[in-house]
Formats: sequence, C-alpha cells, structure tokens
Amino acid sequence: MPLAEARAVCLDVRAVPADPGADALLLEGIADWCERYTPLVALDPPSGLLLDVSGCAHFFGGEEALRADVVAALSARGFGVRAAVADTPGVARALARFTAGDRTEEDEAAVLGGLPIDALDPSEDVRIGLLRAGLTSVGAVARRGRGELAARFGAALVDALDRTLGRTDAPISPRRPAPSRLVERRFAEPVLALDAALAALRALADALGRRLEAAGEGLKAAEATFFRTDGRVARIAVAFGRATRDPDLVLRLLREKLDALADPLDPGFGFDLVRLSALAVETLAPEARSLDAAGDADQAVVALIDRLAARHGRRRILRYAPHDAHRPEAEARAAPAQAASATSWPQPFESEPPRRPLRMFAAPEAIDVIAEVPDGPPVRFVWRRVTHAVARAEGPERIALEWWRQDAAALTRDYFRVEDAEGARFWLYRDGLYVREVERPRWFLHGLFA
Amino acid sequence: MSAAAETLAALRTAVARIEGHVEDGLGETARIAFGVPDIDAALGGGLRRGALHAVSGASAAGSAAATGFAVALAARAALKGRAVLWIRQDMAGRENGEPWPVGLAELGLDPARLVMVRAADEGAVLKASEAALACRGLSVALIEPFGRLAAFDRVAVRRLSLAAGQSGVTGLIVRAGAPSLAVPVGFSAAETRWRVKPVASGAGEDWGRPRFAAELVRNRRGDLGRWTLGWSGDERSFSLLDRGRFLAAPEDERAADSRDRAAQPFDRPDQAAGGGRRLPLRRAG
Repeated sequence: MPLAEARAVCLDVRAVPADPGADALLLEGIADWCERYTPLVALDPPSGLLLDVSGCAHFFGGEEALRADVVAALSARGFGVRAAVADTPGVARALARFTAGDRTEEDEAAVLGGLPIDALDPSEDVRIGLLRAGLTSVGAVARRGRGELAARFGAALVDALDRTLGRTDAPISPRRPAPSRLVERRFAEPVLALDAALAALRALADALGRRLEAAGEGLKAAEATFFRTDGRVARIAVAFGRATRDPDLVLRLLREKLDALADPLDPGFGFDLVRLSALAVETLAPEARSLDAAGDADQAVVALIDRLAARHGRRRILRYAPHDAHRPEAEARAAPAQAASATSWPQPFESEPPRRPLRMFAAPEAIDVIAEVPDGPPVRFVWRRVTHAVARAEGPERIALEWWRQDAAALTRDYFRVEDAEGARFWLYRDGLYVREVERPRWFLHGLFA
Repeated sequence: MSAAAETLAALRTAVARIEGHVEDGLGETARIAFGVPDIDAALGGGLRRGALHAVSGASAAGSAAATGFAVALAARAALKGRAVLWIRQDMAGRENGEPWPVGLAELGLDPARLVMVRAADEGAVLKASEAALACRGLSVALIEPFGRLAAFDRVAVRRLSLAAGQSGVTGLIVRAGAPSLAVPVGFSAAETRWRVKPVASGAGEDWGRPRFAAELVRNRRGDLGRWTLGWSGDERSFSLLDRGRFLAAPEDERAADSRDRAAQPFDRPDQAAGGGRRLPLRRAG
C-alpha cells in the first residue's frame, strides 16, 4: 500500500523509513536475550526467532508457561510478539506466524490444515499457480498427491509442506554452538554490583568444577554471560593453557579480562542472570599434586601464560618452534603459548660465531650500499641516515628462495655478515643476482648480531 | 617432622631469603656469577637474583650488543628447566628488530624455554612485568619497553623489584635503542645498571663472536667498572678481554643518583650485615 493511500485510511499514521540493517541488529539483540531460555537460538529473518527448548521447558514450568513468559517479557519491552510451541520447528514457525499461538484443545492437524498457503512460503509464481488451481489452504494442498504437486510446482513446495505439517523434523541451526555444560544463577532482584555478580560466578565455577570432576573432565575454554535486565547481554570468554577445574583460576582470568576491557562492563540497571558455560572441555584425570619444585614451577608458568593471554590476547603470548625452511625468516615459527607446548630445538654448531642474527627485522630495511665489485660485499652502507664503514665482511651465503611457492617473488638473496668500524655487526643481503635476475639489485638490512 | 621443627625450617628459609641467600632444591644460588673474578668482586659474587637489573645500549647501531649482553646474563641466570619470559613492546620490535630464536639459541639461551610476550604499549609492558615478576615458576624475565619510559617511574620500578625480591625472579630491563633519550628516573631503583657498547672483533679468521664493552654505571652495593667481555654461547661463559680502569659515575648518572638520594631505598636486605662478609646460617643439630 502506498503511503498516500495509507494516509487516506488513517490520518495520523506515523511513517518511518525502513532500515533493514537496524532491524537485523535488533533481532540479534533479541536473540541474545532469548538465550536465557535455551542456548540454542536460531535466527529466522526478517522477524522470527527459533528456540530449541528441548529439555529446557521444565525450568520454566512447562512449555505453555515458557511460551507465556517469552510473550509477556517481550511485550513488556514494547514488542508485538506471537509465539508457538510445537514438536518440530516447521510447525512452530507456521503456528506462530499465522495463529495466536496458544495451544487449544483443537486438533493440531486441523489447525495446520486451515492455514493459508502463505504458510508454505511459496514463490510468487507458485502462489499464483496454487490460487488458480483453487488451493487456498494448506489442508487443500496436502490433499493433492505428492507426485502431482512436485510435477506441477516443484519439489520445494513438497518440502515446505512436509516441514509445515511436521512430517519432517529439520534441526535448527543455532547462532552459536551449544556449550557442553552450563551453570547459571538467576537473581530475584537485579544485581547492581559487578562484584556480587562475580561472587555468584565464583560459586557457579565451583559447581561446574564439581560436575566436571565427576565426569573426569577439565575446562579448556569457558564463557561467562551477563544478562542485564534491560536485555543487553555481555559475554566474556577465557581460555586455559592446561585443562582446569579450579574455580579461583577461572575467576582470576575473568577478572583479568574484565580489567582489560576497552569499555568496562556496565551493570546498568543490574544483572538478572549470570551464566558460566564450558565451551571446550578435555579429559582431565584427577591427579595428585606434584611435590617437587619443578612441577610447581611448571604449573605457575602455565597459570601466568593464561593470565597474560586473558589480558593481552592469546596471540600476543608466544612460543617458538623450529621450522625447516630456506627463507631465514621462516626458520622459526611463533604460535600462541596456550596452544603450543615447548618444542626442543636443535643444538647450534659448536665453537662457531653466530650464523643467524640475534634481532631480525620483520620487514628488512632498505639500505644504500657502495660495493667495490658488483658481486662483492659492501664497503660502506647507509642505514637510517647513518653511514657505516665496513671493517669486516663475510659472505655471500646464497639463499635461493622457494621457487615452487607462488607467492614468493623468488629472487636469490646473497647474505653478508659485516662488522662496521665501531664493532656493530649486521646481517645484510643483496636481493637478486646481478644481470641474471635484476639489472640493479637492491640491498637490505635484515638483522643485527650481538 | 614435628611442628616446631617445621616452623624453624620456615623461619630459616625466610631469614635466608631476606639476607639474600636463597637455597632451593634446584641448586639455585643467590647470585648469578659472571665467572670473571674482577666483576664478581665488584658485585659481591655476581648479580643478585630476585632483583632488577637494567641494561641500556650506548649507541643506536649497538642495540643488538645491549640485547646480547642481557641475553648472555639471562642464559647464565636461567635455572634448569625453568621458563624465561621476554616482554617486549611492539615499538621495540619494530625499531630494534624482533628477538630471533635461532640467534638466541646460538647465544646459549634455549628458545624452547622462551615465552615471548608482545605487549602493545608501555603500560601493557608494565602490567605484564608485574605479573611475570610475581610468578615463582620463572627464572628470568627480560623486560624491553621502548621510548621515554614515563610509566617506569621510581615507584613502579621499586614495586617491580619488591615483587622480584619476593618471588626470586631476576628481572632484566633492556633498553636497547634510544641512547639519546635521558635515563629514565626509575632505573635508579634498579639494583645494578649497565651500559653496553659493541666492540670490534679481534684479529683472526674467526671473527664475529659476541663481544661487549660493558660499563657498570650503577651498583647499589659495590664498585663500578668497565670491562670488555667476550661471550661463548656454547659454554655459556664470559671471558675478560680487557680490564678497564675503575670509573667514577659519569655525569648523567650522578644527576640521577643525587635525585634518588632524597628517597633512599627501603629494601636493603644485606645492610644489616654491615658490608662485611655474611656468614651462612649455622645448621642446627
């Protein structure tokens, strides 16, 4: 209906420009809020949400009570809501969209049969076709033969019909994976102090720890979820280098992460629900505490790495592993210390001066070089506007790059170890062979020796 | 063990810790000896464990020399099987180059034991250092901030050294580049401070071994000095190449020291002994 027509019907109609992006965001927000009912929430754009409440309904006093709770809570926040509970997502979706949703004594099949064909989400062509054939309700369509329908309107319609009538049970695809375990606490009154919420989390961590202990498992990753009364949901995830069940450790990392937040967690009008979910678990045998100091030291370092990773981000806490590669910059690889364990390194050649620099530049720095002979070592070079006179040089160490790699610019590098008059030692290379590869090779400074 | 004996043992450990003698099952000693009699004499047996030591580079091109010296100290200080933490600010990695594990291995610091922390800024370096120096599982923490080091004021550094004293972790603050900037005031709270310059290799085919001109410019309890040292990564040992004369503290150091004098350090573990030789506690029974 054009706006002018609508205005003619209703004088004081309020017109707001459509903003699908904001609508989608709002739907996400409502989905977040709905996670208080079940961890399995799926979006059904543009305006629907699917909640898998299997095994959750009894916490709210049954399916009907849960439905009423959702409707009441969302209505109180100013949304127009229709909700329905059914055995399959397809049926629930159809009932919610085209009926009041509350279960009546009526036979479900009869209600479904009476739904308009729009419940089948037909494309425009199919819709017109169905209407021309005089099929105006789902029941009427269902009475036709399946082969007949598939031949005339395509298999999609038959699938839609099966879904709507509950003949097939297509699982919903939730927005986030269901945690293997979760514990939560609801507050009768919203909690305004963050510390009180954290104290509740400590108790939850304790409870979760005991349940994990019974199963012989430990936490590898956990997430704390704070539900605010006004519907805002905040999530804080932490990861552990070694599986743990220690509630104090969980809480320490959560605090560390909260401290490091760019905008601190704002309790607003208070939290009414906090939840702790185990995102990843690992088998953790109950073990005796080691009595030797080395085991203790190891544990302390793992705890330190976890703490640092929670505050600074796990990609900033690294361990190095050797890697067999031609390119010098690929001879060591860094991996997050939480995931990587200590790998043993090959022993360096004995009684030789260092072959590789102590410090290496991630991006080799271009230098100006004067060399006596084109292929020879530099006599003088300028790095960062300072001229260094080369007193000693050794090289070249020719390193051909991996030509089989597509991304490599594959110029051969001639590395020189040089020492300047003051005794500073550098690692330089000439990028490319004269004439054979490039007309005038450029020089780079790649690293510094002690 | 009876309760009384247990208490006694605990007290003895506490006293030993206060006195600077930490004896653990790992064979760790209270001092990190250089193995060079001259230096060890000036330091009273070596660098004190569980304290903060500062190493700065004396020239921009020699930033690797300062790093190398700190790595050499860390390699000597590293206890068997214990981890070494290196906290470096992003800017330091960009300006002076990233510490390269292959090179570290050649200097005698096993990269398998190294945990690298890439801190975004100075504040993050300080935070991470506090956590690291309080962790008993580490043997050495190398701390490499960059720039003026405004966050490393006297209070912050003293807090770090207290944490180090309690946990027994040795902290090495490395300031490899930026020699033109003033010495951060906080460095005067460190136990010792070193200034390191690169040294040209001697004559001979096999040039390129690590060498440092190390100048001890501040020492809380002992003499200062300047030495030219060689380092062997295989043996993890220093060798004295040239003995320098004893030096009075250079001008900028004096300024920093006199400023510091107003606030004398309050943790003075071995002052009670009167500067004489400390006797180890006699074992009971």
